[in-house]
Amino acid sequence: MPGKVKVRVVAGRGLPVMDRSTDLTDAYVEVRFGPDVFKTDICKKSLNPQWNSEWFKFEGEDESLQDEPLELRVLDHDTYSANDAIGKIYIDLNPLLTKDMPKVISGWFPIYDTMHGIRGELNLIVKVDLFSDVNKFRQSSCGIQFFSTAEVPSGYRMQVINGFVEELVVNDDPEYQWIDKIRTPRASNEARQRLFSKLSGELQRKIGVKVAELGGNAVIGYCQCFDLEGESGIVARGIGTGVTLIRPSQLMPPSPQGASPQFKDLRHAVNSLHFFNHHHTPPTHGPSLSRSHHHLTMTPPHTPVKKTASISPPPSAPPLVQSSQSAFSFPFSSPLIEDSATPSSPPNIIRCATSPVKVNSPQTVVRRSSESDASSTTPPKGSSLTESSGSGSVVGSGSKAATKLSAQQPSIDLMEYPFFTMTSFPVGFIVHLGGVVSAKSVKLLDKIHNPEEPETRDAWWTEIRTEIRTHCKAMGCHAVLGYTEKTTICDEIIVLCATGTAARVNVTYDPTSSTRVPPPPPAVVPEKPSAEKERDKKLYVDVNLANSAAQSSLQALYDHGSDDGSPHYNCLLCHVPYKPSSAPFPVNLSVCGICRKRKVPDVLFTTIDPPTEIQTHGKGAFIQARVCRPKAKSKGGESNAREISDCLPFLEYELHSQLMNKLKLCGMNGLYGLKIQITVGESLLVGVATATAVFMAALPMPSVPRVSGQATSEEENSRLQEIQKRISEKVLRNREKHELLHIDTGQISPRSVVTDDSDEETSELDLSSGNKDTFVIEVDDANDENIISLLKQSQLPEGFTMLNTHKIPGSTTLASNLQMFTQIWRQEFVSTSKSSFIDIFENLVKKICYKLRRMSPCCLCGIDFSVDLPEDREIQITLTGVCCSLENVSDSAFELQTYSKENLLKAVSATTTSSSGTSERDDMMFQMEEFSTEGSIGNLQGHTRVPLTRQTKENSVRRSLEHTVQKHKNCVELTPLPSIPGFKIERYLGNYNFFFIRESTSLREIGGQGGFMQTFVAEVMANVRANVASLGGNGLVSYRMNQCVLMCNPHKNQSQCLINVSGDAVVVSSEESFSIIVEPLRKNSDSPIT
Amino acid sequence: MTAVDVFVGNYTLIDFELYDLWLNGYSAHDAALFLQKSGVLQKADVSMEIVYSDIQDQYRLFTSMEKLLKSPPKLIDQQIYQMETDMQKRVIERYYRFDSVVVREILGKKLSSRNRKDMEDVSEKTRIPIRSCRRQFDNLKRVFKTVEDMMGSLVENIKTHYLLSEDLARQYAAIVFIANNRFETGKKKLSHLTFEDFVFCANQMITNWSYSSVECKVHEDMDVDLDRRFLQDLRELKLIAEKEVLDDHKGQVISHLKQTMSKKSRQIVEESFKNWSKAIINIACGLNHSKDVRDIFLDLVEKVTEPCLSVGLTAPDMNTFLSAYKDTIVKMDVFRHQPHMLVVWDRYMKTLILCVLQIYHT
Repeated sequence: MPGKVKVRVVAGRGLPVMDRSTDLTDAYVEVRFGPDVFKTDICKKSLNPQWNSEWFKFEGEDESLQDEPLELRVLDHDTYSANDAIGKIYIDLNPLLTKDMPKVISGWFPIYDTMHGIRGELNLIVKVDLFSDVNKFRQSSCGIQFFSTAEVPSGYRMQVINGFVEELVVNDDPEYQWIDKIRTPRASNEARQRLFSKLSGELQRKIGVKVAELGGNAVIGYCQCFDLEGESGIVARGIGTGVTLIRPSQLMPPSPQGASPQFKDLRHAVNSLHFFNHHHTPPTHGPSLSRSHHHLTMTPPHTPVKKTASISPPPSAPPLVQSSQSAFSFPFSSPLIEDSATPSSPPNIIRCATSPVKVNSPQTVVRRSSESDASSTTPPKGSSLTESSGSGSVVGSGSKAATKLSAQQPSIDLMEYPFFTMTSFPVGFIVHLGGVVSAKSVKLLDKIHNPEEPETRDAWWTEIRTEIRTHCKAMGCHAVLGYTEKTTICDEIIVLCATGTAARVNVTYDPTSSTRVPPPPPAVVPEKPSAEKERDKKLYVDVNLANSAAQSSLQALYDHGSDDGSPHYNCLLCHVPYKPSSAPFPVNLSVCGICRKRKVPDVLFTTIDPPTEIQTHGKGAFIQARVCRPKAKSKGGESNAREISDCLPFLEYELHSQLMNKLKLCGMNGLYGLKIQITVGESLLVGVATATAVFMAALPMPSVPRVSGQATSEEENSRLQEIQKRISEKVLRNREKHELLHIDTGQISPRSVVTDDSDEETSELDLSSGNKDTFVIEVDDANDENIISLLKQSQLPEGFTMLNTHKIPGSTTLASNLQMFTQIWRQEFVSTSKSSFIDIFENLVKKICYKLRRMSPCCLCGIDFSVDLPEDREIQITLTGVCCSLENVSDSAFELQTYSKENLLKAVSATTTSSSGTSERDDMMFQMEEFSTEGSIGNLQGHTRVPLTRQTKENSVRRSLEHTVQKHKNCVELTPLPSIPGFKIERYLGNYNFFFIRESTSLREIGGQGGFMQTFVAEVMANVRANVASLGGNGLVSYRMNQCVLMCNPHKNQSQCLINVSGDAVVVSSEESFSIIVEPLRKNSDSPIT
Repeated sequence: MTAVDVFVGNYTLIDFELYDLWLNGYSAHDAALFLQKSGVLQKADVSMEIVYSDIQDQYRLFTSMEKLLKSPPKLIDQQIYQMETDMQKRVIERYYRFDSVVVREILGKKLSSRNRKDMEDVSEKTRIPIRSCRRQFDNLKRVFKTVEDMMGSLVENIKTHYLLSEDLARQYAAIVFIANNRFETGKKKLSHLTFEDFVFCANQMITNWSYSSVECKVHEDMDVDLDRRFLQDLRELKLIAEKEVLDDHKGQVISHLKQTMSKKSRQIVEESFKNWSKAIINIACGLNHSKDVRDIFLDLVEKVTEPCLSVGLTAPDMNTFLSAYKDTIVKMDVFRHQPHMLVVWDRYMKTLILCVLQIYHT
């Protein structure tokens, strides 16, 4: 839709003094959009100018509306010399391009200068009037909403998952253009910042088009990255999950851009051409550039017992990885051939991936990947959303609605890449979790034939994604969840990494009714894998009756502690998706701890957030594996690339074994939110894997790791024993800390009926050498650095919990946000020993805890480590997260009980998250038992409410209230989590994604490197807050610092830094009082205070 | 080598313990040592490096905030540091708080950059770090420059431009008042007077003797100046020092004191009444000359408090005496032809009594 942009410059405040003689400024503003420029009058001699300008009007096609930011430039008028720039403001118009409501941007914006930072503020009002559609051939996607939030946004319902969307845009980097030699640093920075803004807009628009193609209206889990390739340009990449969202309050599902369906095919035609360009790269093109290409699947792990000999293999032959690779036994080129070779009709292959045997012949599988079968995929698209289906599913009228939905819902097997960038899914979506799959590829940037074109990079990513898809199939799965793509660049080397969790999913679930999925009926479970899949599928379709679902969730809440476990948990998720006999790699399988029927792996690694269905015990724990390997300095591209790719498998193996060891030390058996970051530097190769460990009830109880080694002398033997003792102590301590101590008996005793099972379980605890389940740590040398570092891993200080997931597993409930923080650390690092590298991280964590010591007890959530190796011998770590206060566990119980029985049905779905975690606490179990004996709700309310409320009041509520009061003023809350604890998201106002550049040529004067960075990060956050506030919002969720590139030149007293941040602007209101608190912000913006 | 180690939160939180150390002129290193001594390291079980890094973060924040603190409304408006209003107020208040010993030294001096150099001596004398002394001096100078030419209430002006609490604003008002009238405070004879004494007296003068006082009908000028008209009227008080009035007054006072004062003290009063009364009236008449205005504290000490103290009159006795001295004039009909003079007398004496009692110590 073309549109008219209207801008009014109201006033400024706190401008810098530009005229030394008068100590004042003669300011005016240039407003630019596209080629048009308007100017305000000059407001003479004032640091707080009042312009009250007329409405400046710009006209723009929607392509430019989406791509280009509105640019305001504040200048100081000089009669004789050139006018001096004060600073600029960029405004992304995308949040205004929705049809929802007449939106307006209005407020005080910091005037930002790349050389001086924030210099005063400007008060503006911006409006956009959209016209109705004229031309359908444009590549526009107005109205497609973007969410960084990697789950269904609060208040929305997902109707259809349309599939994975990705796009890639390339441009030259202005810093590497010839003109940069003659222009000022400011001009160069501004050119760059404008370009970033434009690329980001263009990328979003193109992705939006793809989503519209698929029939969706939103992108969730949107993740955008810039690869600063240097000479070869800037690559903007975006991935996300195209979905169709509706707000249950709205009767009409919002149709994307109001386009009528008949035009869609035309646009599709255009787009399929596009697809052609991107994907029809011959497979030979890639391999010629690719120096190495390998993959490694991380879970379930190979037991290190069998690999003891190969801990230090010769660099030429990495047998460990080879073994895991050979487990897959797929040459990586085959999927490409497969895609273009067999264009058979999709319906035939829907069930083909069910048995792992068939997976071994991938040629039979056809996906909607290539242009050849594009036509066959149009039917699902053609049937676009109708009003009836939307309202039908709201009512949740059983299987009818479900079938209707599944008609629009593209089958998982039809998706080209069945990848989901979300990390949290509606209940019932995930059927089985397989494990983590990842693929990496080392490429050379200087070998790109025409760097200005995106083809080569597209081919690289296609290769990686295909590989991921293949790994996924090898695990007997057909979908990848929590999918991420990352790169690391060092000179001409680029390493592309993709990671995700292989899973079996059920895309045709009905979100309203499937609040829970009952466990499979225990009696009728044949051990035939092929039948199993069939049965699973059926189950999900059948269980649509809202009644039964609600009833069983009721049971889940109140019958907890009865010997069937809690029914609304679903242990199915943990069961292996492949047949035990045809496991893709050596894996220890045991019987599920909950249903006692199916096989589960001994550990489960995932990249997703904790699903509500998986029952966990105790608290979650943060674990991190850190590996640093020296690398010879670059001896030219190819040999360097070869060295890196030879090194990567070892690095990954080490990461994996560290994770395993730490997991065992915690006494846990599952990982959520696993994030592996590989960074390549001049002389170092660094890998950091971060995750949240949990104890999954379905998985077997991890045993205490046992130390084994060839003790040649008595002394050595005693040292080994000493280590063993310390390990056992550590495990015990960890269990205690994470509230896992009572689980040992708790898991076994209620099921004493199944005698043989429990025998097996108890024997696990036995440390006899014959037990196959015992985890053994191999010690070659009692001073082994690995062991030392393992034991050295410090505990968090008292009162701190740390997690890297966005959802909180276990018995931790958050009360309110206290502080979102960014820590940037950079120092010279000469790798002397392993421990010195690990110390960096341990120290950083300690540092953060010390800084936040006044907020304890608290939980540090959404912790994100990002490691860069910017220069030779330098390491930079960016750590972000949010510190939240903890709520007493009893709070949620209290909340539940205040609902009346009728409301409980509704409440169930809302509180499953908290109850799933909290109900495991023993005090809680006690309450539950008490309840079940008492028998009636009313009785319980009278009985237990009093002590509960008292507890609540005393501990947490006071604190959270204090904080709430504070937030009712015009503060803007930032958080990496998808929601703000204690607050309810009223509305999403738009996706925010911005790149800031800051440079200084007077580094010493502003407090050195530290002062520069501290101010810059604060300025970035200030800009973010101002943008959120100007939209009428008071929070930004899913905040992420995607990039922080710092280049220093202390000898020249100069420094430059680039920061990219993103998130979703929201309006939140306190959960107690549902009032919207945008008032102070509005007032502020309408009547500028002078 | 380029080392970066910064922590930035969405909310800017001030560690007031460190803030105070910073305000007191401790360097980051000294502050770390201070914390080490106070046992923070042991309590939190952290290394010196971590504590030092935290201190540096806060110090950097303080330094970059100092620019805004020079004009506190800017700190309230700015968006870079998202802070609670309470915390902003506290930060400002603490920044403008001063050590009375330091300000006692600055008091009465011209607030010029020439005198800023003397801060080294002040620092040496008061044992307060030079950085802190300079900050206090600069604050005084800044506040003085902002409000010296402003119309209206001094305290209110300070409150609106520096967002200080009532109490602190009053102290600043007193300092500005003293500086503007160039009161002599530095003489050796006055060295026993504390800063608080001066603040009290100056505030009394602002409320009762300046243009903003209730009695002043013409609010044409500012708080910072004494009411000229009142000062002129004070000359009329010389009537009281005339021989026959003086004798009558003495008799009245002595008889008045019969019930309320011990015989011994009464005798002291009786002996020195004439001298004391003359001194009080002389000070009143002299206030018309700006030279004498400047010396008001000196005169009060030399002519009133010192003689009284030397003969052993206690503070309560002094209070009884001065009250009687003031009240008996009303009973006598000295001013039957100038009834307005009673008001002037009252206005003069009320403030004078309060001031004298405040400085009535050694």
